[in-house]
Amino acid sequence: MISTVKYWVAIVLFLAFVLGYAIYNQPLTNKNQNFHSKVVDLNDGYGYQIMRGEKIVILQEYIPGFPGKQKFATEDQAQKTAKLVVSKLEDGKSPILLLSDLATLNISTVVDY
Amino acid sequence: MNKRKSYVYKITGMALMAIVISSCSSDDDEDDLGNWVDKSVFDGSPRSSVSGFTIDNVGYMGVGYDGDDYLASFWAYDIEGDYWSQKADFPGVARNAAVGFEIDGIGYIGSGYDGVNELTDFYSYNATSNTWTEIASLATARRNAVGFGTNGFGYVGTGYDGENDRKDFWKYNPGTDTWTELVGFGGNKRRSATTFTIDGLTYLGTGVSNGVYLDDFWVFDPTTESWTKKLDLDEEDDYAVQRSNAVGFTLNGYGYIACGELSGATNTVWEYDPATDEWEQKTSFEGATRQDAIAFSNGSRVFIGMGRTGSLYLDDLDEFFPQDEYEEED
Repeated sequence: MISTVKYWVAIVLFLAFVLGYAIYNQPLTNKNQNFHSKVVDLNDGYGYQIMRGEKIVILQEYIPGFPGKQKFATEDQAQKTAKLVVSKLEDGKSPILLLSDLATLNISTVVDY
Repeated sequence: MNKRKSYVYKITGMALMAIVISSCSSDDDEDDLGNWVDKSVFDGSPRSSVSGFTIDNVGYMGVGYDGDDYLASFWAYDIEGDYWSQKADFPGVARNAAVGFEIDGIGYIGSGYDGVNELTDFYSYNATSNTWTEIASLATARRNAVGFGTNGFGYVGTGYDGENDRKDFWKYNPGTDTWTELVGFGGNKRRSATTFTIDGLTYLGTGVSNGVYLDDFWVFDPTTESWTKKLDLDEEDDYAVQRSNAVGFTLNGYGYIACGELSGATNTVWEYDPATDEWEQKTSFEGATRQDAIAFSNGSRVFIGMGRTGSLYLDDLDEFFPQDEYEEED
């Protein structure tokens, strides 16, 4: 029992040290500042940008994952897809969109290539 | 019960300690030249053992393993614009430890491991149309092979076939969509070796077989399809180039071997001068130590990213300036 407590204390101290070290070394500009998205009108369809602050981090001119160069048919489809990417990034997840994600969003799967 | 619990605490504590020690251990060579600039985008897009290639000013990478799943998604990094795009999904089974290379503006990814089997299938990627096409398969399945495109042909060799490490090489002819065996590689069988190409000559070294990190170093001339042995990677006492799962790239006429695995992930970087057949240590990779990373290079700029350290999967991308003084704050 005593040894359990000892290890608890050691681990808590260690975590405190690690946290302190991480805070001390934090970069001046916060890398996790808010992600946001912007729909891009490409004349014959729509794409989107994912931005962090003023910087473009993802530029998607074609529907992600689909073969060929199919643009989003409507502004609404581009917007809801971009929002899903932003929510994944905000959750600390990978921004990968799977075909199942696009099916859930009812993104048109007509491929013109 | 308590005893078992205390083991859990012990193991957790040791793991934490290991993480902190490894993240503090990068600053023992402050005199080496070379600077790293963080270009990270995704905090939370971990994948390692990805494959890819560079076409003009765009680095392509895809497939890989994130610690839970084998991946099929495929991404392009625009070197000038410093942003990513998700491209057409890789059409084969999701995999890692595949090879990727470029021949005359077309990308190729194939072989690898899907979690159960080593693989033979290969695909070409047309960046202009964003489409994949299946091409002829390799004769023998393998993962952790090396692959490079040079002089209009693709070359794939070494690797692990599920039972043995290999030393055979195969040549892909995109004109006829055929693979033919290429004899004459005099090195040992190995997996997880590295190549880089300078002025049309491809250099091959590092890798591991039966727990031994190999020290031989070779150059391949595609015009004569012959291999020539160069000085060993431990020729000088202060060389520490030997490793596996490293990345190799070329910049301004020099070759580089960076990061990788040597009884644990490493972040050291060595520069090869083809004129003298000598190696020089550069500033170590600034991000966390890693293996199974990827490098994109358009010949004048290079970026290293992805990879893993132990079981922690990494996603950040750094640009390398080998002739600059090191600066901590960028």
